[in-house]
Amino acid sequence: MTNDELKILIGRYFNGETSLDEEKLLRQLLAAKDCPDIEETDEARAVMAFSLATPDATGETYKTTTTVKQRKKHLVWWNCAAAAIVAAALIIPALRPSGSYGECVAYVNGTRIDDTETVTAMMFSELGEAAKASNQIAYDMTLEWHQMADAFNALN
Amino acid sequence: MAKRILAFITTLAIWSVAMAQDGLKISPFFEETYGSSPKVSSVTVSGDKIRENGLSLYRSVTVTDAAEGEKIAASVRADGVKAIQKEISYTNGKLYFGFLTLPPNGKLNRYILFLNTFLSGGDKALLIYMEGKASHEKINAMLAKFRQ
Repeated sequence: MTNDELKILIGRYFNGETSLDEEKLLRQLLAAKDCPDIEETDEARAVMAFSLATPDATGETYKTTTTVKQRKKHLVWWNCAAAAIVAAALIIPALRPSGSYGECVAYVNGTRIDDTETVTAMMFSELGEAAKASNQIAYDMTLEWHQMADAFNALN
Repeated sequence: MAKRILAFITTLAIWSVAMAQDGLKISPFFEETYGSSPKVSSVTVSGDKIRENGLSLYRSVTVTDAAEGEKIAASVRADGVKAIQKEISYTNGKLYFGFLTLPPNGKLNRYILFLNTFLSGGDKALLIYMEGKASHEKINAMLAKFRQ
């Protein structure tokens, strides 16, 4: 194959016009020892991601990795998988309520308490204290309203 | 590949920090290191035990140090700025009692209860945080049962 024919083939490869057989032929030509050292062949090698061409006994064999098209497919799948993982990492916590589900534990002065009855008794005791305080405040507020009402009635 | 892995790890780190902070000033008082320290009592209940009350999470912290109680009160006041419903009471210029309904986190309603008994002759300050689908009225009804 002449240099011009090789350039045409490389041009067709970059335009996506080559068949699989033509791509295979192009790889062989680029891997061959007598491949012309021109700009087009350097570009084609870079795209096809050659690392080393290992000649066999005839000196004409080549070694290559996956084709550029297969690489692009793999990249798309990897990008989709990465995006899905990141999206899951962001969405799942938003759907899950805070704290571990089914947890029932207390600490008193650094001592861990796992007994369910004891822990729930502590919880009810705390709610009872808060409820009594709330009730007292509501009572005080009602008393103040009555006092204000009495004062208002006294004026009138 | 290395860049993708790094992006994923960064996302996980941001996620874990966001979960821990929860956007509230009272969050540090519910970290395990604080709740399990001496002079502090803490309770954490989630799941079936409180589901019948419309709650998914109950957390509380009780401190027996008045200064620590004031720190908690300051955090409650800060979070109370965002509250959509408040019942608060001050004594001698200090927060004595607070029952706050915070803006929901997604579908979960959030509530803070605070009581500083140091201001009424007592010896502790109590902070309660609750999450769940229960409405403010249902929480009030639940507290009413404990008043009796």
